[in-house]
Amino acid sequence: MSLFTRRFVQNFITSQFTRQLSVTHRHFGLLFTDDHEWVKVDNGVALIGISQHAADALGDIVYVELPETGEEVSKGDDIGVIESVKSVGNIISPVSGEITEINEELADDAAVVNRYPFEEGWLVKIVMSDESELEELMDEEKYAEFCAEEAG
Amino acid sequence: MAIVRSVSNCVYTNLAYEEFLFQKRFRATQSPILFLWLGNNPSVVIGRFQNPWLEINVPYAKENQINIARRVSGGGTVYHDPGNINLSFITSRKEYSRKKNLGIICDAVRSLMPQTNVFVNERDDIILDDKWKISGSAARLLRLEALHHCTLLVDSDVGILNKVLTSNSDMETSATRSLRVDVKTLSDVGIKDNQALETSLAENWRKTYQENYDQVEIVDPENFEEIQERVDELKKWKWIFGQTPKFTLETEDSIVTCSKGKILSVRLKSGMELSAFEGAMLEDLHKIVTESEVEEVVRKQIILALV
Repeated sequence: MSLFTRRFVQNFITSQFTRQLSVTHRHFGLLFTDDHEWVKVDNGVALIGISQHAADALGDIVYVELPETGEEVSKGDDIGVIESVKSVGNIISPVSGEITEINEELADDAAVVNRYPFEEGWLVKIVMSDESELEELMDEEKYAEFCAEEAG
Repeated sequence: MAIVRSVSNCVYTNLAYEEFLFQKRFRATQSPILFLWLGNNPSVVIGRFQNPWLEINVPYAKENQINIARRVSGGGTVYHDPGNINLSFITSRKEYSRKKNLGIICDAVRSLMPQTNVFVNERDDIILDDKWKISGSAARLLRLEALHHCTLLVDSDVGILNKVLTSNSDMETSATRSLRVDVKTLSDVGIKDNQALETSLAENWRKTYQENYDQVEIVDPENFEEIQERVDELKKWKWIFGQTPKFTLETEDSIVTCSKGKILSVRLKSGMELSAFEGAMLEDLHKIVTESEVEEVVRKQIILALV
């Protein structure tokens, strides 16, 4: 792991919303969709999960169905399903690309998503085919406003 | 808003038609729908990620011609027969309210018999006389649409319900488990008239929209071409049993791990792996040519337990 990446990951773990400044990579910070997923970008790879807000709204998560690695997906595709005690809902891909990794731990303990939605509760990694799609997503400030509007 | 009632007794047809109302009709009209489907032939319906072998006595169901179905919403296993009513509340995601829907059911029951002790508990079950479950709920939420459906036990055969919902199997699994509770039916407190209850449900739902009374649309989904493909899918082993999440089963001589209808590994209790079955689909197990007596014996055990 490069020094930049290691520092970035450490800061991410200690502070969920820390922003980074970088002169070598275009950096986005933590981004959000209006479906309450978060995206963390690193070197063209998008790490994806659901926000605390989403996890709280779902209630206790009992099962997560994830896609197969190697699958090509488009932004907006259903890429998985989350079952909680209250409902079954879809995971919608915020970007297009190839699924390169899925969080196998969730098969044994889906509730990790409730406990640590931003860290151990990540869902999938996608190698992006079109980074410009990230521009349509919200930064944390806009996402906070979005959540407030939705509630009101 | 629309109130739609199916005349079909086929659980697979009704599930497929419900999906059509939810994902096609509501999406197009944006008009809330109450879908009533009563009197299914005896059936058990498991939740999206459940394990049928753990939720149901599968041999008993098969011997007694009880259909087994898997729905797209989560939650636990329920029993349908001519004595239960199923209701589906189809609305926008924004309008979705489980509490409101369950409140409508309680109001409908009390409209028929005002002193009836019914309330909604913290698990969103409807409870009769403080301890008996008479209704279960599950939901399927999409970005813009919401499906909330419930069962309501009116005059179901609780004896058969208890028998078929008691599994004869034991496995380790990551599938969602039902929470077993004691049930009763509304007929136990004097409400036996399905027709009157159906009318009361429609009336109480309509009231919440303060709109003029719409005729209940009577539909026959068995003659609806558009859903036939989905009906066929819902009847297949691949969907009903093959969608079961990862589980490990012990037969007399082996430990078998499967996921989504595929055998991941078969290990004899003596320690040896039986690679012949690795990667095989459970529904194709009977086609595999076995090369030893051990393989033959184990294959028979797996088929007996699962297929």
